[in-house]
Amino acid sequence: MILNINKAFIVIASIFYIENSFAQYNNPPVEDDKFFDALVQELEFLEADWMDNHSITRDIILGASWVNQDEQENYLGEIIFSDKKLNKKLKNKGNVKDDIAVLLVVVTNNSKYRIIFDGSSASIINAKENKIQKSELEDVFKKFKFLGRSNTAYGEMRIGSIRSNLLNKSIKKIIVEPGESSSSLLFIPASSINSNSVISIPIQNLKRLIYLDLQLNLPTEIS
Amino acid sequence: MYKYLKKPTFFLISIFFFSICAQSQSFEPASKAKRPSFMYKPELVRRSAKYEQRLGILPVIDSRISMFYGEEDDFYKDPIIEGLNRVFNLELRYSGLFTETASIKKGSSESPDIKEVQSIGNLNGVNLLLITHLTEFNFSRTPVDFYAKGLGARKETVFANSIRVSFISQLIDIDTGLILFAEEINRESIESASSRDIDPDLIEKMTKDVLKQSFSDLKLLIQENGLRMKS
Repeated sequence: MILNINKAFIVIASIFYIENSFAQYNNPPVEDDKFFDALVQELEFLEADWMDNHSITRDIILGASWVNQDEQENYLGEIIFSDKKLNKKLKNKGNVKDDIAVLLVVVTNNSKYRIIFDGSSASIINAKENKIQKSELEDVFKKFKFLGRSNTAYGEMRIGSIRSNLLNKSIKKIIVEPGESSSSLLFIPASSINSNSVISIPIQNLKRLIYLDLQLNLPTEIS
Repeated sequence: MYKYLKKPTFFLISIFFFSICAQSQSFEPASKAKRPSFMYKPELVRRSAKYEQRLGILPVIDSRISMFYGEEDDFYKDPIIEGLNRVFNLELRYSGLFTETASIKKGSSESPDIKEVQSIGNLNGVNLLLITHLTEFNFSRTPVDFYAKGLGARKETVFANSIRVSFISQLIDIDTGLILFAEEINRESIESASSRDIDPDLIEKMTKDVLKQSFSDLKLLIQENGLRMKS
């Protein structure tokens, strides 16, 4: 009788063993995981005036372009906003209620002053002069459909890669030295995309307490 | 008889399920009583002050783009900003760089102009003001290995756990509004561990290490790069 009952346990244990072994086979090693691959992929170095869409304010250049599907796979490991949806939205069509679009933002400081580029306060100003804050990093994180349960070792490994990657590449408050350029990713609510919307990023002069907002139209095309 | 025999099976199955669940490796704050503190006593430096003026230290402004880890910020005994304010005050008081330092309790706006700075300075009787924007105080875990071991191909992930601290400090002359010193300090403390091995002691050690390195950089840079007003 004991043997019979323990058979049930052996059967269940075997199922889990096979399932786990199979999962192990399906879960590639760290270095082959797409999110780990994205983590080690650096953003392309650009000077802001190399971009089609840029503006110059007191010798400080701000440039921006949409991060297309291929670039999202490259830099983030997954597509979080498709070109199809973005194209529709650029034509003021489609429903993008909770979607998040990705921009590559480059600042080049050609002035003779050191500046604080306050990327953490970046926003979108629409045609009605309403200020829409950039997306929160946690909201961006929730857009990833990473494989595996979050409480498994594999899921946790992928969460680690995604979070580190977002922290590394997202726009922040930084000092930009004269002559220096800096690239980062700006995540914005897709609902804020409109042909009349502008990106607004505050800067501060580091000689005196003087502030200025850099503004740039949202790009109208996907590169 | 059936009921009696069911117990060991139930027990075995429970152990098995428990071992599966034990693979959960999520990183969450410890219970309140076990949370680490990152307070430490800085090195007291005896030297002639670089600035023979009274420094007012404003509360740190939180300009981070993310909380400490995920949606959680309460990994320490004290809130991060509160603890950091104390460390800033201690480090600069012990640094010997200023004749006198004063902790200012009421913060400035995110982007104070010269009028606001002068008003704060006059109200607190200080000649210099230190404004700090905290841009990173985050935990991140980069996977370095993922492997299976033991019966049931139990999976393990080895992470490079890191705590990154980054802040921009500006030293402002109250009379002129000139910025005498402005630097961005970036430091990271990295420890390799399987995620299950992360305990509050490790977090405490990593945080103290990264803060000591950051303040060592800050003090050195103020000493080397800080401008002085001609009297």
